[in-house]
Amino acid sequence: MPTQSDPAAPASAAARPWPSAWVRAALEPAILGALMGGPLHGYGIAQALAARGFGRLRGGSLYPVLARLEEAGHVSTRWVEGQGGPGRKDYALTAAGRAEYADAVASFQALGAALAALGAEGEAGADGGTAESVPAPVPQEAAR
Amino acid sequence: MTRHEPPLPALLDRFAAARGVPADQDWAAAAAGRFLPDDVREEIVLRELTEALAAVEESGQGPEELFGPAADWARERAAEASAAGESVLDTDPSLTWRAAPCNALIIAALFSVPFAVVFAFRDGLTVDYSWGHVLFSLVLAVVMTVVITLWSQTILRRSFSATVGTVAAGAVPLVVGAGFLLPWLSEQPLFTGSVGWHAAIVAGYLGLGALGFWLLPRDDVPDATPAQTPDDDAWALVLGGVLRSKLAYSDARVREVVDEARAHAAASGRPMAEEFGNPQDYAARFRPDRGRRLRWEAILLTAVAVYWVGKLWAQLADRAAPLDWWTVAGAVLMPLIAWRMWRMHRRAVSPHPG
Repeated sequence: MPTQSDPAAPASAAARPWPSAWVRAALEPAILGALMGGPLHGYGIAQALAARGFGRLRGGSLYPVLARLEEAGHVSTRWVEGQGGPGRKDYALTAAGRAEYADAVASFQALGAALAALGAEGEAGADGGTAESVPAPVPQEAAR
Repeated sequence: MTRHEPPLPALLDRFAAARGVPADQDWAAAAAGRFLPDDVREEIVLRELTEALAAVEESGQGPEELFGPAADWARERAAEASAAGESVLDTDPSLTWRAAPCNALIIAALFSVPFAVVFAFRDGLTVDYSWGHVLFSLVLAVVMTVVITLWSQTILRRSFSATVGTVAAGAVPLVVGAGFLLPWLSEQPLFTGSVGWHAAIVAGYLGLGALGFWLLPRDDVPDATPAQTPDDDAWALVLGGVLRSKLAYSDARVREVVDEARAHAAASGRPMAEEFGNPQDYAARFRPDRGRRLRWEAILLTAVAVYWVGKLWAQLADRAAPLDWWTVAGAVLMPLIAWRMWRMHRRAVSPHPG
């Protein structure tokens, strides 16, 4: 079932929108990353992600993930009463969330390196090189 | 989902046939038995089992060997589907008044079997049948159906505490009424005959239950207004009802989810239906509060256990009255069942289950 993000939304950080499957796979660490700068409410997180090229993330996709992150202890929450309007729930990163984010970023970087290495390996092979001539990426836990 | 998975019984048979090992079918049945009480949508259950079956057929290895214990695998698959943004939970309305007669007949059919066994042991080979023998299971089934349906319907619209009050107000006169009716029915003679007539009573209820199942209207009607977009208040009402009834969320937690959705919709300037989609599908993306559900079930079972133990204690205190074996059985079994439920609750809320 597709994530309800809008892949056609303009991405300021990326040259073109990422496929929705990528956004879906990276959603949890992306939310944790958006909170690295300080606590945000749900809509603020959605805006921060949109500004980073993750497309317009609808509430239907965002809050169940936030609930899971809260359950896992990666974010803490605080309800802030609204003045005249509905209140809002602020999300803040916990120490476990910070560690999870660092771990996920390292895993994604390793994945990118492994992808690049595969291409380099192919080119080296075409030039008569061997797989051993291509530097292997640092082993990481499989990307979440 | 574009594929058409076979229905569950056929799928289970295919597990047995895949390697000719009956234990494979037991594994699949145990997995299905874990999915279904967790209210996982049937199409997800069928899809996951179909994929597991394909792996068994291709590898020639057993499902236990490939995937580990069935219950753990089922939990993991449901959690993964939920993490991938799928609507995992079945959020269809559980029980309606329209289906209540049918449900009551089926429950009566199920009740009539153990009651027949109890009556047969109690009364001996030749029985003076009364209307109590015939209608005991039906009266209890009607009470149970009314209470459950009242709960299912009220929790969709009212808070948990208001629902408890409403159901208690409805249940008390019913239970008291049944308490007067059942002894009176037991005193209304019908005929004297063989203990074998119990089989006819069981068969009669099973037949009526099956007939009701086929003839009486059921719940599988499509949504009356699928094309209409509900306004924010109607949307929030449905979301709250599903969170309370299907996910066992507390009133405070429901309020938080609904208020957060309202705040998000207000900030985005879009209606809640547009921002969150169908409220049932949105609710189905959250994880149910299994610990809370099990706690309430454990509390109810503990109350039943206290009743049976109290009944036994009263019989023991009254030395003139003979001791009923079913009272002893109830006083032994119900505390054990309640203890098991508390144990399940402790496991569910433990941060390190297993």
